Amino acid sequence: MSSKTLASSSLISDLTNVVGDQYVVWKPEDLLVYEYDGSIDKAPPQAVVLPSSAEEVSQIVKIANRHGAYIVARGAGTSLSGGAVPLRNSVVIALTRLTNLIEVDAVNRVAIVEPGMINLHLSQKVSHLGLFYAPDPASQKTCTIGGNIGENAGGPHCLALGVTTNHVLGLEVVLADGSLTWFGGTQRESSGYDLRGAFVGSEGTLGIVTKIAVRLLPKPETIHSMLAAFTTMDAASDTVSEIIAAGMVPSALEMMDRNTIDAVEPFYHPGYPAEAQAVLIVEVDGLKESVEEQTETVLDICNRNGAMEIREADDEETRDKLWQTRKGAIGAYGTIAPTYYLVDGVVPRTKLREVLQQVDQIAVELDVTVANVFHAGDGNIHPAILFNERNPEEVKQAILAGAKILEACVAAGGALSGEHGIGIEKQAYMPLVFNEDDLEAMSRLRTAFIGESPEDAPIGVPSLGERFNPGKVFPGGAVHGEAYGITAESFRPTGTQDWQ
Amino acid sequence: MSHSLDGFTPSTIEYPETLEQLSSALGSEHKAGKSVIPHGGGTRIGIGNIPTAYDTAIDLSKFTGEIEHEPGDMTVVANAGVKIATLNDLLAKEGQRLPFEIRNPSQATVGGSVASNASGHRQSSTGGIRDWVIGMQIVLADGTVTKSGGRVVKNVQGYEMHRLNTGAFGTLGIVSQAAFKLLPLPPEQQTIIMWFGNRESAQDVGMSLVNGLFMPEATSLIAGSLANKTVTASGESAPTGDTWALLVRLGGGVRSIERQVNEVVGAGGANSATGYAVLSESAASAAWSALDDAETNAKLSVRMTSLPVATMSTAESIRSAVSSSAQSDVSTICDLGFGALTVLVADTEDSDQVDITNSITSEIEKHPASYVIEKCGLSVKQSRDVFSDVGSSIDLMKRIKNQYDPTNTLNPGRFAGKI
Repeated sequence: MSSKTLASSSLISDLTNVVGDQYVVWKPEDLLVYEYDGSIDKAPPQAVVLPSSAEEVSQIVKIANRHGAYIVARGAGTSLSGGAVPLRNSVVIALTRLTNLIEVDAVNRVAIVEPGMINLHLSQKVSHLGLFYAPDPASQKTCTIGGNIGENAGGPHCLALGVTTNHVLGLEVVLADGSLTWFGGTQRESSGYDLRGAFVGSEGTLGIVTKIAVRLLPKPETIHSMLAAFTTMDAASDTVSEIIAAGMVPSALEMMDRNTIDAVEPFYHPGYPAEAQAVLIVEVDGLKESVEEQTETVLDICNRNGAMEIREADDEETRDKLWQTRKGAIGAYGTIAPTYYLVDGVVPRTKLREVLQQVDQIAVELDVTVANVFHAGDGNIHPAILFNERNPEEVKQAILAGAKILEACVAAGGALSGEHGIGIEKQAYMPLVFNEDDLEAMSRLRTAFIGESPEDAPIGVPSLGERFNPGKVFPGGAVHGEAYGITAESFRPTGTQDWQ
Repeated sequence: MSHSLDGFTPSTIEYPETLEQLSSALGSEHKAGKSVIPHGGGTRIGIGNIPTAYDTAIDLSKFTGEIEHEPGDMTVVANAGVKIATLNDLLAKEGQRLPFEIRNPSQATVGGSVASNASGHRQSSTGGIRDWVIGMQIVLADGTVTKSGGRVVKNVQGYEMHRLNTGAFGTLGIVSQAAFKLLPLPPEQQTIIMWFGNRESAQDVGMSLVNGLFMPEATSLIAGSLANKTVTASGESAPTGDTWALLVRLGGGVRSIERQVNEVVGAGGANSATGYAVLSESAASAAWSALDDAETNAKLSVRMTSLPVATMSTAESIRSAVSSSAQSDVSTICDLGFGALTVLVADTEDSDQVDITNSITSEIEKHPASYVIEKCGLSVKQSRDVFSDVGSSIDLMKRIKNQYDPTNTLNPGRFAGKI
């Protein structure tokens, strides 16, 4: 675990000169809350600074350069892969004061926002114009759009509408030398390399985003949500396959297993059938006529696969209620165990059933409890491993189970992450998917962005090639679970599974 | 197919059929200090600045391999040399298609389309190739084979090199294979043409459609002589005078299409369309082909991307600026859902092209926009950069090029900023 090093008084005073006393956090007890994010990893920052403008971010980066300090940009700290955990005693730049909606152009359906704006707030602020912002991660009530850029966040509705990168037009970014530049603009394409495309999903390792131009979409005329309970996971999985085979792309296709049903039942009292082993949510939207056509098809497929009960919602209140268990599932896991480790892996949709069976086997073999709630439509599974963090053996088993699950995803032709990113959590598993040449090619992009150490950097400072969010994404940067005594030797991938 | 370009003729042409052959061909040219230009179907090979050197063509038309289509996953993986039409024919058997549309699909290849960020009318609803690429295999300048992304519809694992290389015009590596997310073919399609006597009415209808309750598959607003030609091609009698034609393609189930047709026709009527027609399949195909033929035959063409409303006012100002300075037939196509404007000059002498091009781009530069001169004579290329200015990120772009191709082996000098 990283040792705590306090920031030098000259660094603190330089930072204070930019943002003022109240926006520099440096006392050890005040820094504690910035050690964590939504993952199980943690590490202490040396200082936290809360700028109020892009220009201040730029000045802070220059100051950190002079002091040879690493930098971690932080939004709401909801990362599930350790993306916001400040390794190497970084200075944390918290962007939570940059929350403005700078501009909305309703006719051209473009908005420019600051990175600290909460995801859901954008949709709320443009709702009166009949518009919304499509990416909707489960944490959308708290997570920031800046953080979404870092992780290329998804959400239940990205099945039909795409993930964050599909909705970002341009980015204002502070680069490693503190300079401000725009990647892209308000138009869909820009001359030169697609730097916006390269930056979205780079997990905060290439720069700090200070303004974001996004696309907005018109709200659909009709939304129809259906919830169906099945006696087996297989029946629910077959229903998903048949819906896709019918040539439909519903706006959402979400599934919950029995353990999740058990967790949500005491919280929300949905009263799902006692014999239900899986609950499927299917949502279709669009023109009334199109929704009617698709609804008929979906209901027919659900019934053919022996749905025990089907609930439907076509107004907002009923829909919110229907979605309540899905959206609140993760929080409800607290009824089963004190801590959860939410794994994020992707499998080809056609292998969903097979991999879910493997997840069950892994749980049995390692004697861990796993609850499943996931985006069935795009094969993005989220097994939640439930454990007690005060029991070191349970922690170790949880991490091992996560590793085995990801190994199974990759072996089935899938991916290490659908929307949570690599961060600290999955860097050791990157060789399961990528060989040395692939990783080396990726690291050259970081070198191009970060460049050489700045001329005014003191001699002898640590390698600044990882100036932004050090120790993330690439293997060897950090150890997942180190805070719980896990060592690098605890898990080694058993082999590389080539993508080809 | 000729591999000559901008006055250069390569001394060597390689036709790799396997990944090993591609890697070793590129690797040995790199080692020998040669300059390499990769070729696909040749439909967009002319886009780019004049190369600073050109020794070897690597033609990927034989690099086709196996197409891996997983209908249940709605994904496909194909090698660079596979033709877009071949791919779509295969996908159609399972009721699926590439979400993006590519012009000249029977000639255009996967690799060339990805590298040059090719587009088509459906960009108005589904966006560009970059939105649907989920993974890629890239052969770097020294022959090293690398990959990024994955084969599943949703993946964030490491840097998205596949997005960086989409539209990089083969300056960072050769796109040897790409994986795409797919969409189902709509059960029904229907094209409607409407024409108007002024831009404002046409614009109001067009924008009401792309901002409305359903997004048409394609919404193209055409002006100039091409507008009259498109109306004629669709089997209707050509209007006289300045005409703005709105060509709209709808997709969906039977009942949904019926409603969409009513809404589109209703919007046209409310905004005093001069005329409209709901087209038969053959008439629709003729109308869309009229647009593609005009692009293929144009002597000079420029593509602008900007805010949708800005593309329409620019279309009008370009036509008046150019027709006042030269006797040229200028037509424009705006893809409204995307915010793309294609300016086509049909009949122009090479000697006039520099002036015409400059007056087109100076109108574009009045807006927050980006452009690329897709077709032009050598005189234009000798006079300027064919890509719009990339702004303050030029240094970063040069550093990226330097990381992946420090000896300038691939497409030297041809990219934006003469990278």
